[in-house]
Amino acid sequence: MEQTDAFLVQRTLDGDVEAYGVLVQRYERQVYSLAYRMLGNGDDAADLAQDTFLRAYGALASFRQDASFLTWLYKITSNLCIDFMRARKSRAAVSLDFEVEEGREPIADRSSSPEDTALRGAVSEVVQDAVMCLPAKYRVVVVMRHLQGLTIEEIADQLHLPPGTVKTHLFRARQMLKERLKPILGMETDGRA
Amino acid sequence: MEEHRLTDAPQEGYSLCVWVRERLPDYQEGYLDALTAEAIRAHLAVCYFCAQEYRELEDTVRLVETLPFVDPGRDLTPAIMAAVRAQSGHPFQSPVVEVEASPVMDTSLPRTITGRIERGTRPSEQWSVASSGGSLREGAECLTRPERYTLAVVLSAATAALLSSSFGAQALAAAGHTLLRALDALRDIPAVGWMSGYCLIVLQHSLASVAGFADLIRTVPTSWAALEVGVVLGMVALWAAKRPAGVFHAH
Repeated sequence: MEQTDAFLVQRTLDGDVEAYGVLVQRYERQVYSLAYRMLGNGDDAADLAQDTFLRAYGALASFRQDASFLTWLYKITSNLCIDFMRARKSRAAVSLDFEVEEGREPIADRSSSPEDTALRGAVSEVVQDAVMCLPAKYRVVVVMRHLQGLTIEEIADQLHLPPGTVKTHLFRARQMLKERLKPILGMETDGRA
Repeated sequence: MEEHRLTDAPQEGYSLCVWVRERLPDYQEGYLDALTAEAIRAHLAVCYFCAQEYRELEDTVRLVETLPFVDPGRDLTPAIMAAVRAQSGHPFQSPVVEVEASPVMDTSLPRTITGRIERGTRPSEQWSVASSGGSLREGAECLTRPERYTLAVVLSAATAALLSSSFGAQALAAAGHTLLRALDALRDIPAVGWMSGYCLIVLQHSLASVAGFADLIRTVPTSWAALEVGVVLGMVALWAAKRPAGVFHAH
């Protein structure tokens, strides 16, 4: 029978480090995935996943056991990602500033159109690329809203922004995504017809 | 009978399609009141273009939400657990402290998964730089909240005692007057230009205020001066101690 998160957390707090290993094994993919969606870079995502689990380990005593461990990990991950992006922006050259504020050009398979890539079955690659093309401030809210499933209020609280600003960012992000994904949306509409 | 009206109805001469499209994101999120939502639903049923716009928004969100997990391509657990074991000697933090804001020590992070150890590029370092804003706050964040309160009170009392003693006030006043004389001497040097001279005057006035304050303290009975200075400094210190340790909270 699978051990519950609460049980493993308690075992870890009692000094059993291996119990924490089970939690890491269980959630490393989810944490890495969220970091990758926000940062768009495998190496950064792996480093950030490690940092997330380390930070969670150090703060395990403050974890409320009635809450979801994964949700708690997601919160740590997204906060670390936000700080990482802020730090990257502060160190960035002009070109990267542009990327952070204005988004960047698509990188996924520049040799072919989104339709061609989608036809080859790589729809998720096109969507991921479209998400990564968003300016960082829009990408963060999209990931938090649609991949983490947080509410507008929760995002606003976590980002220290007014809910209205979060809604505006989300609205603009969706519009930008819609424009980028239009070729695929068109294909899907045609396919349904 | 109560009359039901749309609280946010379209104005006359204002395109209904524009009105609907402005509200599609809120409609999508379910944030609209029942009547407005019903009006939009009715419009979408008869307007091809708005319905098309809404369908595209829905499809976009669906595509993003169905993105699969990204596989790291390797098992991250061994590297993570090696770092955790290195840290496992550290005691777990008290739940009342915003522990997540404290930086992870280098000894507990011998190397990142990707093997990078360059300072300032790792998330943990960026975290501490971004959230704490400097070594002073990093140091303060290593303390628990009760410790910070205690430190604030002790520092305030010590400063108040020093200032209120005749020695402290005399020393402060003497230092202020000495600096003022030094600035006077500087202003007599012809090489000091007009702008520099202006800056010196401003500085002189500031110093004169400090020296005057010190002189004032000397004239006030010691116990009153200690009380007043102590209260002011204590309030400032407690305000600083109450500030959140960082932007990151686990709960």
